[in-house]
Amino acid sequence: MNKYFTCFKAQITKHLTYRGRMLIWIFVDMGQFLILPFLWLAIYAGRTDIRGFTPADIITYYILMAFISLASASHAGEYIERDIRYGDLTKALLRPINYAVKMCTEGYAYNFLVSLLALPFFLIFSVLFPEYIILPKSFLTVILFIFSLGLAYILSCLLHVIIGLSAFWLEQSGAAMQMRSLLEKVFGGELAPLTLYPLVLQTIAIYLPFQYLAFIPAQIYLQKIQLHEIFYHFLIAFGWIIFLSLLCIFLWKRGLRRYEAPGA
Amino acid sequence: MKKYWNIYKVFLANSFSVEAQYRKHIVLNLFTNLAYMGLVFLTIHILFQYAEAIGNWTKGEVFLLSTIWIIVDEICILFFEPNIRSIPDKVTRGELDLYFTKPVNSLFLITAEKIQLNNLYKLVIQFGILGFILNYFQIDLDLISILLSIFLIGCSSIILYSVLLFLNTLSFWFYKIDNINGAWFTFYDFGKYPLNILPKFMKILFLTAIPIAYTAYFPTQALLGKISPSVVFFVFGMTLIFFVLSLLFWRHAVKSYTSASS
Repeated sequence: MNKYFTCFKAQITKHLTYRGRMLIWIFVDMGQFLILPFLWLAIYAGRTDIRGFTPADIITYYILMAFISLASASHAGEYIERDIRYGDLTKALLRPINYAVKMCTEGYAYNFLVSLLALPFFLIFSVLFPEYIILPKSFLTVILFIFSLGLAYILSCLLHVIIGLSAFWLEQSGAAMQMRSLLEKVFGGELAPLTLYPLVLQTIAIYLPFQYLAFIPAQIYLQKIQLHEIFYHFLIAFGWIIFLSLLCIFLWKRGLRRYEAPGA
Repeated sequence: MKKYWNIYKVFLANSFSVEAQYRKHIVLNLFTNLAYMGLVFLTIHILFQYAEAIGNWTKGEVFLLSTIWIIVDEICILFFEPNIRSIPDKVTRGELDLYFTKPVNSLFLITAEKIQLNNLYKLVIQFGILGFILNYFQIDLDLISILLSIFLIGCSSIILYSVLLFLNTLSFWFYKIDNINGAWFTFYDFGKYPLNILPKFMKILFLTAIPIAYTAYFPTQALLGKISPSVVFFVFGMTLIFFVLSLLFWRHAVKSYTSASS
């Protein structure tokens, strides 16, 4: 455990060296959610409720999407893909450390830092526009929200590792990464709350793991789901984590057989 | 001029050879592109489940706006976008020496070097979708509107070229700013929605410092016959300003270039 914590600390130091670069990334991650609240406000046009969502709910929802993407979206896939393609994986294989866990621990250093840095922005926003921001109503909600973010990060890492490992078989996994990103956007609820989607897409989303990346944590924060439903969702998310972990192990073992250590 | 055309023909031939090597990649790229368009259209569809119009734009008009945005983006990727985005890498690796020592305009060499020919397939599909949208939503066009829209698409491409050049030229002074393109494209994405719904300060911002309104908003307005001549002149004037400023900035940057390789 100690060795992973050392990797985490080393990454924190590295990110703090390039502070300007990190601030631009925060801006990029948050900026993508800027336009949709304005579109929704134009749609509300005096209405107070759309399928249980008030204007304040919808604005808070997109602010949560921005925060969740900073706090729990993994970026490990592209690094894993690059290591496999350029043969840097060879170095990692010689070390007494689990490669996938190391990549995800190192990646979390970025999420941890940027979410801490972004927190003041959200607090300032909630002070300036209190009518559009819903604050958590209880301490339990905060705890459950943070726990759901943890599950979201693990799931996001596993999905990234799977796509990253596809580099063992694919010439270019850029397209596969884009597909994962699209699926996350659609079925993770980044475009809009899943409850506002057409019914057929809502039904598909139930059977996929993507809703646990952003939609469910946001629903927990907004208290749109009951406590027993929250525990049910946590149970399903655990199930997905086990299934995707097994898939990762399978792909890793199969992939290593094909690995030719290019550049070595 | 003939010299430049001959050089461009060589670039075209090279790009064709590169594309021919990655045929599987072309198919995957096409598929991803279609999925991306699906995502854009799905967003619009979700929004229009709850409203007849957004900021006086009907569903068909917003579909048209988004498709034109995608087409303009594709044209820019086809001709110059990845080339300009590679400038920071070239600066930090000292590769610009190669371009500056040639008896040809270095900016032409750098920004026209690679042509993403696989985007031609995507463009064909996107024009097909454009035709379908026009037909499905029964949007009538006249010749003058079409010509005006093409002219404004030309202007928007030049503005995009200028902005990207300006941002990437900053790498002559600042290292590790490759993600500045990411910051730009975060805003650039907003251009596929009706920008008249935004607050006034954001509208001004998107017409001046972050000029994303020119990409599709004005060309679509022109296509729908909703643009006044004064706006067309304004867009043309802004295009000239952006282009000249970016060229002046590039020239200034080249003077302060110190090779990193030797």
